[in-house]
Amino acid sequence: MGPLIPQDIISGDLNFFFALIIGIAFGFILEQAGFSSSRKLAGVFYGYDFVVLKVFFTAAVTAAIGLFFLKYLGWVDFNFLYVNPLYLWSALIGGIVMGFGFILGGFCPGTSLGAAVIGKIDAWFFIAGMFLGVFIFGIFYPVFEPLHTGYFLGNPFIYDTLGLSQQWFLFLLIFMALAAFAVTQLIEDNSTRFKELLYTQKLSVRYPLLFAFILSIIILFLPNQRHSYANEMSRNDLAAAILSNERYVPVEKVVHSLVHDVRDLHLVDVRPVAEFNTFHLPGAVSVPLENILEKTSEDNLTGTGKTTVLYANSSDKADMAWFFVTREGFKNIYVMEDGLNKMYNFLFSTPDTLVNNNNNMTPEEKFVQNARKWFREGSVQSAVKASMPAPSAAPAKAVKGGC
Amino acid sequence: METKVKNEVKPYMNPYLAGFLLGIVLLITFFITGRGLGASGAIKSTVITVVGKASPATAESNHFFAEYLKGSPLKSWLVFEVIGMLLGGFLSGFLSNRLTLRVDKGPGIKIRTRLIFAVLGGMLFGIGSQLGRGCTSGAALSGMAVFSTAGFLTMMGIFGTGYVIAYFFRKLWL
Amino acid sequence: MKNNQLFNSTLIFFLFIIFALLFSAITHKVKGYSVANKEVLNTLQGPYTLSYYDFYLLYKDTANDFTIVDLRTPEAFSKENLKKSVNIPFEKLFDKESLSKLKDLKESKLLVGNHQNETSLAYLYLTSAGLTDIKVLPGSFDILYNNIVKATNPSYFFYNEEKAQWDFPRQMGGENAKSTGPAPALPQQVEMKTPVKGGC
Repeated sequence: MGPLIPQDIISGDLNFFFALIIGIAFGFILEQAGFSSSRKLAGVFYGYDFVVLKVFFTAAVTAAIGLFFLKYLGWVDFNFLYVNPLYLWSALIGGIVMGFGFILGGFCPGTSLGAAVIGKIDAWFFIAGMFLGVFIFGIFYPVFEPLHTGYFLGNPFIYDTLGLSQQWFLFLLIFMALAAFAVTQLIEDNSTRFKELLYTQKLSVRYPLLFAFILSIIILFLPNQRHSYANEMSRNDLAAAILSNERYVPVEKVVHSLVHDVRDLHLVDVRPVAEFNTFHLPGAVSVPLENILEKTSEDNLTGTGKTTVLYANSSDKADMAWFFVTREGFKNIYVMEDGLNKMYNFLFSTPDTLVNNNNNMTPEEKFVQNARKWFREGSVQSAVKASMPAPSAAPAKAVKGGC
Repeated sequence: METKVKNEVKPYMNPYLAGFLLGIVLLITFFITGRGLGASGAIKSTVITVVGKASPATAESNHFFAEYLKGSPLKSWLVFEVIGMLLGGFLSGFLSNRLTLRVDKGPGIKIRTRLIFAVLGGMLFGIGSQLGRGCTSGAALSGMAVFSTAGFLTMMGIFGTGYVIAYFFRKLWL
Repeated sequence: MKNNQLFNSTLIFFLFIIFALLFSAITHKVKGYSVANKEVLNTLQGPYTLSYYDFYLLYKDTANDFTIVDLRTPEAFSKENLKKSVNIPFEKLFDKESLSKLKDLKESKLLVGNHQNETSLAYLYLTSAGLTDIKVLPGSFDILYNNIVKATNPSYFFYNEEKAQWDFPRQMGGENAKSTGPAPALPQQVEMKTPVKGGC
């Protein structure tokens, strides 16, 4: 299902509208939390106000839990999420430089914006400094470039880097957060400085902590990921679909579509890539059976505006591919009956005869002879169009039914 | 009496509530757009646009500026998001009666010192956010939410450094 | 508690996750699969077929641990059948009784049927439903029976319908076949290995 915009579920034109709305919520929350005060922000480093840690950690853990469950339920596809690329030394040194910036400036970029707009003059200077900093980075980019673009390690996930399962990592993260909250609260309470900065709404955290604890236990004991999408076809429906044989398109129909250039079929070759490279039907795309459930194959299966027909050397592999995509929830996927072997047999099992309008060939025989020529040479197309009626064996529209 | 109550500065939101709501906003952002929140990217877009307008020659000769002049940097997602942040921050300050012109600083330093260090800090954040490919929100917060190693690394860089050097700069804040 | 927004908002979030999990568990059950689609696909990586050669070695000794599941019609089955085989017609395979009958079989199950594609679909369906220790005998009962059981023809030892039976590019690789379409790679006029034996 999600994310919505990268998968074109809602229009990308709305992107900027969402950006504005999300920005308003983001800015509002940061200011409400007290992130517009550099003294409150700096408190996290001196032990008198841990608002940064509390907000930051709570937000990260909440979003991480949410994304974990959205992924688990199949509602968000992580392949479409932006996972920060890891340029090892650039990320680390950038973090260190920002650490200096935080202590010296008392803001980070997001917080400085909310502060500036409610009249904090120090935030104006901080923002001016940021512009200057980015400008300096740009001017001296040739110096920074090797660091900035070097040591690229892909887009790894932290749990893979640490060699943990995602479930264990999230469990530990929640517990680290809870422990950090407890410890910092103790430090904050014992600090005697700047109590006036802690002018904050007091709320009981007992039950939210309990919820976090229960969720962490659930996360740890969730059964293996099931990929149970809501649109998966039920087993009984699948059994009925297997028995109905409505999925088969006869080879005559495919040949007719190709030779007459009808362009109503979207041919998908499910054989291994090597066999595809050796030979494939004109216009076919390659989706080997083992990749049939990959996200990247989806565009090759639907949304072409044509009838999707899977084919292989026989019905066997194409039927198996059909099984997986149909169970997955794709509708209107067809199979070329008996595959290329049958097509070859259909085209080349009779002796060659020269087609002209005088001999006593049936339309079917003429069709085969012309198609044969088309496959061998590719020069008869216009002639075929002029002289050939569509053979009865190749219904123009009806897809169901056998040979 | 009534007006006095009305103009009273309201307390800040409970940090856990703010954090939770921020987490939900972040989650919704990921669900809709496939990407997280950010702030520094908009600064970058602005700088690149200004440099590109003022001196196209510089932009052409420099990879950093050239790379982003191809598109229209000011029409990027983050620019709109930052405009929203400004509106949202103002709305919040207005509702909580926190709209005042002032400088926040530690008690031990002059206003001028604070402002000089604010510029310095901003400058370092400007450079650091380019190296880290995002700032506290874009790299660390959003990066942690999607479990990215880069996000955790940058987060540890920022806060680890902060704690290591905090002692040496204590005069600024304590 | 009424005015604690933190409690209220986190409670909604918490309950949302719990209900979503329950909802997913219920819908999953209704769909009736025991094995995820991707995991069924992954089983094809291991050898899910049993070559006629291996079958030949296995079939020689009835002390071996196997049961043949014959998917043909009862009429065909009564005419000729294999040792240690049970008849579950393909049309009846999807009934509840057939599934429980197959689940009770302790031995390795070898599927054989009218057509290889039917047998393969039966394999995928049964694997999805949670059955294990199943293998597909390629081709059809007739090919197996006539070329392995009744008389042994070694050229059929590695028979598979899915093999290309002809050298496609030689006859079908003309300009039309090559030029059109968004093919990621152009077909090459490479001679295929010797045309595979057997076939229609």
